[in-house]
Amino acid sequence: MSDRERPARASRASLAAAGLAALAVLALVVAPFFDRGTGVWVYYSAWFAGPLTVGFLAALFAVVAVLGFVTGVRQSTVAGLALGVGVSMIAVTIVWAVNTRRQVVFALSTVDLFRYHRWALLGFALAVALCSTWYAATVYERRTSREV
Amino acid sequence: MGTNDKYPEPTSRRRFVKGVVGAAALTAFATLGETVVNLSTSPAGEGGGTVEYYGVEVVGGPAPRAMPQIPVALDDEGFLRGIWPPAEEVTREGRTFSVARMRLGDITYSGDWFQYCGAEIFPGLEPTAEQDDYFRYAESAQYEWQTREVSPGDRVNVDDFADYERWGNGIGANGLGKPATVTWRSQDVESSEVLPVQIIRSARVASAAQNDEWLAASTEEGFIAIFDKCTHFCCVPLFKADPTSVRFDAGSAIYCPCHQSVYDPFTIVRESFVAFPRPEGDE
Repeated sequence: MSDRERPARASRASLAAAGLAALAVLALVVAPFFDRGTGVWVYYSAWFAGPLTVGFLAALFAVVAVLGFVTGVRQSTVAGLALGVGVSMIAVTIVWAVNTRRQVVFALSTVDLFRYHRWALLGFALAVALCSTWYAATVYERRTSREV
Repeated sequence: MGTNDKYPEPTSRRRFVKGVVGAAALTAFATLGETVVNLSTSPAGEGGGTVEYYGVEVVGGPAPRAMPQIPVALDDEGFLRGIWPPAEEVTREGRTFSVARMRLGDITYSGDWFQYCGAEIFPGLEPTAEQDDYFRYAESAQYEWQTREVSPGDRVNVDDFADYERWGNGIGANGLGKPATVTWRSQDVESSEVLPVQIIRSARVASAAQNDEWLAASTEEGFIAIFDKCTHFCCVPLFKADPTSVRFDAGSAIYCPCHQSVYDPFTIVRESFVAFPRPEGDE
């Protein structure tokens, strides 16, 4: 692989990884709705904004990632959007997760994996932001290598 | 204008910053939207919210709070039933809906006490559900005496517990009280929507009720009933039913086999929790 191809490949890989992490976030936001009961609404309402906002941002991110692949949108614009959305997802998830009452989580259902749900959400939001940072770095690297 | 254009040539850095600002704007839009929806509506349903209740104290394991008690009464023929409050109309946030609540002892007793673990959508917790409130023996009993002496679906009668002061099954101490697993307000409902209840008849309950306003109002002839959904991930814990409970020093207590939570059925505490709302338009 030539030095010119490497950043391009890394750029695609990082954007794809970020997109997949965003889809995982979206899946985690939707998953509790498959459980019976109204508890998920109480769980998601622990703070003014929460997983519904994060889910919206994750869906938006997936669109941005697709745009980055298939359209002529400038990579630097995609990098800015991706990083901004990724960091926002982390911020909203952290504030919501620390405001969630343990008592509410325990009363959702018999599925005890729920105890990890909010932290898994935070983990994948972090993955989105990290992969977006990687993508922004590869875009910057490609631009500077072209200038050289 | 042409070459004197006051706007600088678009650069990668400017495009990047535009992207970040766009993301921030979209986040603000989404956050504002969810905030407005949260403030203008109750979370997907009717009733619910923070409620005070009486329940059996957690004495071990990860359970965060007491399991709620169901007040009981005996009829003239000795059949045991759980008290269900009368339905009343309340208006909250511009919407009118039914709530089952009443003053009992020194507390407001309501159907909200049992609205967690998905039970909030069970038909039996609808305030106006037509149920007779009698406890009936459950299908799969964990107690040998229950399998042998009574049939599933039979109403619980005080005579079935005549030996309660000496009953024992080799788990924990004998003579503490006689338990049974029963259902409540669950006639003609899906098996997944049955309200599980633990009842115990104990001399300790009868004795404690003599000096306690709440216990005097919520127990009768030593009978106490507990809504049997563990407050830690919703399993069905039982009193003196699981031999392994002895290893966790819970042989004479209510023990949850899923995560080893332990409740003391003879220590009643007043606590609060966030009850989940019932689905909209139940009635």
